[in-house]
Order: sequence, then structure tokens, then C-alpha cells
Amino acid sequence: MTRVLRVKDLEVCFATTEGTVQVLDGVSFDIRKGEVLGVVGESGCGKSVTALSTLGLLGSKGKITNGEITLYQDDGEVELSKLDPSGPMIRKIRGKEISMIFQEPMTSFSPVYTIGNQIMEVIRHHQGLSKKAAREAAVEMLGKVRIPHPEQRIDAYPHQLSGGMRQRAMIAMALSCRPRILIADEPTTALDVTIQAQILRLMRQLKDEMDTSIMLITHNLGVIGEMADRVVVMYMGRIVESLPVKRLFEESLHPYTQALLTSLPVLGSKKRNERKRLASIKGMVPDISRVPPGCPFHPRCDRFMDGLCNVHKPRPVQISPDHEVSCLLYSEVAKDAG
Amino acid sequence: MLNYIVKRTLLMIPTLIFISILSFFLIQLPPGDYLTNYIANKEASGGSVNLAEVEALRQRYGLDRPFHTQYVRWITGVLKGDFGYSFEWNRPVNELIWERLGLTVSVSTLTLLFTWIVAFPIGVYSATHQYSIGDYVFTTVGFMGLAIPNFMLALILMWLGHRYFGLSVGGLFSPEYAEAPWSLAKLLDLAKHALIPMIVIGTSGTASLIRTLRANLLDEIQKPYVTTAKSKGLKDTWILFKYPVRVALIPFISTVGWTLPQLISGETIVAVVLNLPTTGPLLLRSLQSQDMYLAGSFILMLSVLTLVGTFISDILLAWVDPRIRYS
Amino acid sequence: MSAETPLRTSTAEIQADNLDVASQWRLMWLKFKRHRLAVISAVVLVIVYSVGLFAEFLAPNDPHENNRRVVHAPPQRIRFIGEDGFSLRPFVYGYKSEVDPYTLRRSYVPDPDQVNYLKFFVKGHPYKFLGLWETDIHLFGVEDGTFFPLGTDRLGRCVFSRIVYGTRVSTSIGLIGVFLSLLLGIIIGGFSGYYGGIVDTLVQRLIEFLRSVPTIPLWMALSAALPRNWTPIQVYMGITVILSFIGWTGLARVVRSKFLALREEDFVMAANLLGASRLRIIFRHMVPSFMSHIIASVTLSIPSMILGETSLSFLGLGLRAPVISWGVLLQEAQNVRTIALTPWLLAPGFMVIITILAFNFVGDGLRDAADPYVR
Repeated sequence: MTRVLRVKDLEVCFATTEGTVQVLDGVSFDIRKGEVLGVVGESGCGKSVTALSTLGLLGSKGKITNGEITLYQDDGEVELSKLDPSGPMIRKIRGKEISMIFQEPMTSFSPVYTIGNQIMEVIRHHQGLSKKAAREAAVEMLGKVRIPHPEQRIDAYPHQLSGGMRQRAMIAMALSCRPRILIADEPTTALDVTIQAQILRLMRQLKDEMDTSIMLITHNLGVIGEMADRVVVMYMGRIVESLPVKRLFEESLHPYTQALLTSLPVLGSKKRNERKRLASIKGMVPDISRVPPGCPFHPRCDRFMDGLCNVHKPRPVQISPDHEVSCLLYSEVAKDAG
Repeated sequence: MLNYIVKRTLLMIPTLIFISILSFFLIQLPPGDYLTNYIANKEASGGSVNLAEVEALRQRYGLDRPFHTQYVRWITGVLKGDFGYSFEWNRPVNELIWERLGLTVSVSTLTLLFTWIVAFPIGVYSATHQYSIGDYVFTTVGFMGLAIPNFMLALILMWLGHRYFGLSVGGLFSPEYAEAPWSLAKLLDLAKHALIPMIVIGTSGTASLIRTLRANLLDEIQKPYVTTAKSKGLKDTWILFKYPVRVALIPFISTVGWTLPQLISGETIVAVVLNLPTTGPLLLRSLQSQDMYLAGSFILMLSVLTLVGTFISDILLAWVDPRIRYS
Repeated sequence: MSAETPLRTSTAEIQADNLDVASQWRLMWLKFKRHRLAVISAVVLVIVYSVGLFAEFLAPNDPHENNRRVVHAPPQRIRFIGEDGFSLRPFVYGYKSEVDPYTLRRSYVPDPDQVNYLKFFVKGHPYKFLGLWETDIHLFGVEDGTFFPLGTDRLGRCVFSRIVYGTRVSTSIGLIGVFLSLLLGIIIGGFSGYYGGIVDTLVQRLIEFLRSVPTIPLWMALSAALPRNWTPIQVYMGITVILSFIGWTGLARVVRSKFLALREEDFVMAANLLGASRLRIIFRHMVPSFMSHIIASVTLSIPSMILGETSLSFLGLGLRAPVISWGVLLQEAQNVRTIALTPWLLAPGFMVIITILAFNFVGDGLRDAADPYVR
């Protein structure tokens, strides 16, 4: 499959009142055409920052200090990380080539305009359609996301819609220019569980229909299991493991990934002796400004090797063509020492 | 929307009744009445009083009747357009208040516009350039504006005008226009004279508006919908004005409601210092001399003006904020 | 969208660790301390109120004493350098009166022949220190001649001493007025917010009504109604009550909204379940939890009280001579002519500005410090 986006060695720093803090450290991954890439991790691990840096939306405090983000279009490549974040080039990408939906469907729409106004705006901006044509396109999109009576709902204000409907409208807006990539940042976290499943199914259908790739950011491994083709696991601004979802539950290698998996409740195990106490990862995520030396996970890892993990920064190790892990257990350094 | 307006209008009626009672109660508060005062003053200065005439006035206005009788008599008159009689000026109140009220409304409205025009760009600038030098300068000036009593600002500006520009500041008209009928030239003359009062009355309002707008806009700029708008590929200035500024404008518009009483208040006292032919000086005198119908009518009409202002601002608010309109 | 911006850094974290055990008041103080302007302003307020408290001791002259020979005299500059060169002891020149040959206006100029040295703890007019014992010692002044650091008014009274005395009245009226407003505000707003329903609706209508009446005309009408034959103390109390007549509405709103929010909180529910009485819940559990907000709002509402007194007295409807307040003093500066000739009569106005600025800064600092979510 062809690549649509490549992120390579991405480093991002934020300026705070007490100095700069590095929040992404050497993040690399690809997104292929038509696939769903899941990005998992606890809050604060850099998932959202990765997404925002793709669109140049880090704000005045954040800065890409190293690495490349490349978008592959039909007629060539664009180096997104080199574009002026407030310039016209990146604005042509946003909403047209790459668009984004957010966690809070309530606050992601402006409360004072109708959703139609906000959807038509992006259509007219990128496609230069007339008001009438844009309205028709918006109605069509609202129909595609299964909003009933789209020709009436287009004139509704966000507060007049339910949470699920708002998120559908958000998806309609994001997909209205048929982007190559849709970045979904915790798209279902704020919704009821029953609605979550509907929205996820809708996203899958529309992805196939429009041949869009999705970068799905979530802390919910269940969502990943349902939606994603491949998964990237992040911890404290680094990618610790990446592998196909099919293999995630059986073949993951990194202690952090395994710990995440054991903290998932397993449904359907009826026999009493099969029920286990849910595992939790010991300790707390340290402050990002005080990243532990060596492997950042070592203070919480139950396979911690003294003298190695707290000294050497693990490098990604290729396990199989689609599976990489950054852990000293599997690297040359460990083998040498062992 | 129509429903809302009707509901809001009906709500005003009890308030109006209360205001009329309060106004009348206030002017009844001082012991005695204008006539006892008048007699005391005459006798103190050795003049003679025509007791029969005094008695006739007292009879005519029922000054010896209980409060509610007097109130009903007054308010039925007001509803018919008769605001009573000014003892001090020996003229019906009607002849005295309208022109002055008109000028008060003009000066207050002009000031409100002035306040908005000045506060809007400064507020937006301060919020978008937070902690820049300009922001600090405006914040400091704003704090000063809130702290200087406006009569003192009037005095200082008058003094500066007198000292450095040789201007005689004060009044709303040049002598040659004061009694002239309304014309374009008189209007221009008014505009020229209204500048200083506008600055004086508007300063504290402008300062608080800037602070409100800045704080609101800073809040709004961080809202997720701004990020959404950015992710759509729109231009930054377009986004700023279409999205956060639009929401931050809601409290801005609602300020008509609370700045209008403030402006009318400020206007009253500044008018005394700057000697403006508006309600202030006349209200002050009528209160001091217990010229009850005149004072009462002024207080009533000023309160009504404020109510109307609040009403307009509520309607505007419902118009700009769909969340109110549809709730 | 949750941008995962790590704003917490190591030092803040270490502080935060210590803060875990700090009480609410200590937390407020720690945050307030970081607001430098607010701290400076707090010091200014302490000074202003001390001036009010020790007015007799600090004023070099009797504020009621007329000096017919030096009417409308300009301020006497405190000098270190005279005709004999530098002197470590500060001194002032006495006045020499001159008559302008054209306008025939009398004016006063410094007279280098009269050198009066300033001294600490000089004897002056007698007074009772803090109302406790009789003394005639003043912090500073001159032994011979005159010392008018801010000039004199139309009766030749010392403007500086009058401002010092006026501080007591003007600043205390703010405090007492705010205290009355607060009392009304907490009681009315608290019950309105706690009981809700019809009580709440009625109180809200009342507050809206009072706020829709323009303040100054209302104040004017009310104070015009104060009987002319009242003693200064009665007038003082009357004006204070009038000022709090409007002031309580703002505080009642703050209290009410806090009550509405707190009523839903778990700890209030818990107290309810434990069978605590309503009054106990209000005063033991609810009031302490928003006390810090109340203090901030109170600080921010004192300026309007001071401005109100000043404005009313300036119009001649508030306090009246012989009472001395900043507003009464500013009455002397009613028109441009007076200000052009004797600009020093505006000096009380600067005290008003400084005090109000200080209250605003302190109030802002307190408000930020009281908010547990602002870092």
C-alpha cells in the first residue's frame, strides 16, 4: 500500500514559564492509504501534540525542533514541518488534505453559528463553491453521516443537537472536502458507550467510501481493537512499540504495552477461576519535564534491569517487517551485557 | 424572538410601577415640603409671605394629604403627560425637563458609542497581544481610568484646557447658539462641546469594558472551537473576528444594560462640574430646595431611561446569542 | 481537545508538594505574594489607614485653625539647599507676600530670609492620642513660623493637615459601608441562594430593580433627605447607610451564585445527611468555603463606596463642614478659576486615586489568589 504521511524523528518542545520542555522525542511512523492507524497512550504522552504538529497547530508556545512530517499527494510530496504555521501553504492542507475532529463535540463548534454555516464555510473556502452549491454539499454530507432531516438540521445551532449528532456533524464537516487523512483525537471519549459504537462504525464506513486514511488517537484499547489496522503505543513522548492490531493482543513485546493490555477488563470469562483481579501499572506517569534517564518507563517497569534500563536509551528494534519495539530486553545492548 | 420581546416587555411593567413609587417616596422623604421650606427661607430673609397663596398651592397639590393619595394624584397626572408643577420655577415640570432629558440622552448615547469605539479595538489588541508593551500600557491606563473620580477628571481636563489651550471648557453650546433654534451649525457646536464630557463620562466605562473584553477574549481564544476553525484552513484574522471576537462581543453588547445607569449617574455629577444644560444641575437644585415634582420627575425619567436601555440590551443580546433566543 | 501541554515544571512541582498540606489561607497567601503589584498596594493601604488612625499625631497643624494672613498660600517646599549651601537638616522658607502691580492680586512667595528648620516630635496643637491621653507632640513640624507642605485654603487652613484628618473619615466610611453591605449581602444573598424558589425570585427581582436605578441620582435623593439638623456623626452614619443601600446588591449576587453552586456539592449533601441544621450548614460549611471569594469582592467594592462619599460630599449633599473628608476638601476646588490659581487644592483627589488604585490591585490579587484553579 502507498504511504500518505510519514513522520520521521519528530521532536517538539514547548516553552513554559520555567524553561523549555521536550514533549516529543524521535517519533516516527507512517500512515498508509486507506488504513486506520491507532495511537494509544495515557494522557500526557504526546498523542495530541503529534496530531497538532502535523497540521502546524502547536500554537506560539510549541515548536518542532527536529524531524520531518511529509505528506504524499498525487502530484508530489509536501514537507509539512517546514511550512510556516501561519502561512498560506499549510492553510491549503488543513481541512482539505488533512482534517481533524476533536473530543468535545459541544465545544468544538462555535455556539453562535449554525452547524450549516460552519460546514459550508470550509466547503466554500477550499472548493470555491457558491453559497447555494455549498449548502447542497453540506446537506449531502449531513445525510452521509446519517443525520435525519439534514435539510432542516443544517440550520440548527450546536446546542440544539445531542452529543452524538454533534459529533456526526463534526465528522461531516471534517470529511466535506474528502481529505486524504482524517485525524480523530479521542472522537468518542465524551460520548455514551452505545453512541460510541455507532460513531466508530460510521467512521469506518465513510473511510472505505471515501478512501481516506484515519489517524485515531485514543487511550481506549477497546476502540483500537475495533477500529484500527495498525497501532502505535506512546509513552512520555516516545513510541515504545508499533505493530498490527491483529498481533497486539497476542504478540506485543514491550512491558508497557503488555501492562496496558492486562489492565483491560476481559468480558465473557464466566468461570470464576478465570476471573482475575485487574492489573494496574505501578506508580504514576512522571512529570514530562523530568523524564527519567535511559528508558523513560524504567521506574514503573517490572522487568527493569538495573545498570541498563536507567542508563541506555533504547532504540527501536525491528522484530518483523511490521513490528518494532523500543526496549532493551530485545536490543543488542542487552544481549551484549547479558 | 417575538415571544421573547413580549415576555420581556411585560416584565418591565411591575418594575416601572415600583420605580414610580420609589421616586415619589424619595422626594417625600425629607421632613416638611417645599412650601414650609419656602416660608422658612422667606422669614429668615425678612420677607413677607402671602399665606393665602401658600395655602392655595397646598390645597391644589394636596400636600397635606396622605402619601398614597398624593402618589395616585401625581401618577395619574404623569400618565396623562402632566408631571406636576415646579414651585421653584413657577412653571409646569413639563416645560423644564424634556429638553434637558433630551440632552442627557444625547450625551449618554454619544458617550456609549464613544466607549464602544475606543474599547473594542483596544480590548481586541490587548487580548491578542497579551503581555506586550501595548497591553501593559492600556491595562495601566485602564486602571487609572477606573480610579479617577470623574468629576476630578473633569476638573483636571478643564484646567489643562484652560492652561494650555486657552479654552473655556464647559457648557454644551457656545453662547451664540445657546438660545438659537436647532440647525446644523448648532449641532456641530454641540458635537464640539460634547467631546470633553464624553471623555470624562466615558473613561471609567471604557476602562471596565476593555478589561471585560480582554478577559473574555482571552478565555475564548483558548476554546476548542478556535482550534477547529484553524484546522479548517481559514485565515487567522478571519478566524479571530468570526469566532472568538463574536462570542466575546456578547458581554460587550450586554454592557448597555449596566453601563447606561453608570453613564447617567456619571453624567449627573459631571454636568454639575462642567455646567452642562442637562438634567444634573437642575436635579441637584431641585433636591436641595425640595422642589418635589421636578425632582421626582427627573428621578422617574432617568430610571425609565435606564430601564429602556437595559431592555434594548437584552433584546440585542437575544439577537446575537442564539443560546438565549432559543431557550 | 486536550492539548497535552506540560506546564508543570520541576520547581512548581516541588512547591506543589509542600502545598499539599497547606491550609486554604496559607495557599492564598503564597499565591498573593507572587502578585507584586498587589503586595505593594497592600502596603500602601496599610499606610493610608495608619494615617487615618494617627491623624492628630501626623498632622503638623490644627486642621480647623484659620490663618488670615496666609490665605491661598502655595505649598512650602522642603529644602536641603539654601543660600548658605547644603544643610543636612531639612528646612522651609517662610512666606513673603507680594501684590501684583497690574492685577492687584496678593500672592505669597518663599522668603529666603526666614529659614525654619523642620524637627521631629515638635510641640503643636494639643490633642488626645488615640483618644487615650492628652499630648501636644506631633511627628514633624517647625517650632517657629509656618509649615504648610501643601499650602493653605481660602481660610488659610493647612491643606496637608486637612487631608490627613480627612483620611480618617473617607477611608473609614468605605470600611463601615462595606461591612454593612456585606452583612446585608450575606444574609439576603445567602438565604436567596440556599432556599431558592420564590424567595430567590423575589430577591433577584429586588436586586435587579435596585441596580436599574441610576446610582448617583438615587444617592443624591436619599442624602438630600437627611435632616439638616443632624449632628456630623448622624450624617456620617446616614451617608454610610445610603452608600450600602446599593452596595449590598453586588455582594448578595456573589454570595447567591456561590450558594447555588455549593448547594450541589457533595460535602453539603454529606452534612445534610448527617442531620446538621440549616444554619449550621450555612455558617459552618458553606460560608467558610467561599470566604476567600467574598473577601476579594469586598475589597473590590470598597472603591465605589469611597468614590460615592467623595462625589456626594463634592456636590454638597454628603458630609458637611466642619467634618473633614476628601470629598468635603474637594468642594473647595469646584471651578476652573480656583484650580488655575490654587492647583494644590486638588491634592485630596490624588489621595482618592491612590487609595482606589491600591484597593483595585489588592482586590485583583486576592481574587486570583482565591481561585483554586488559577496557578
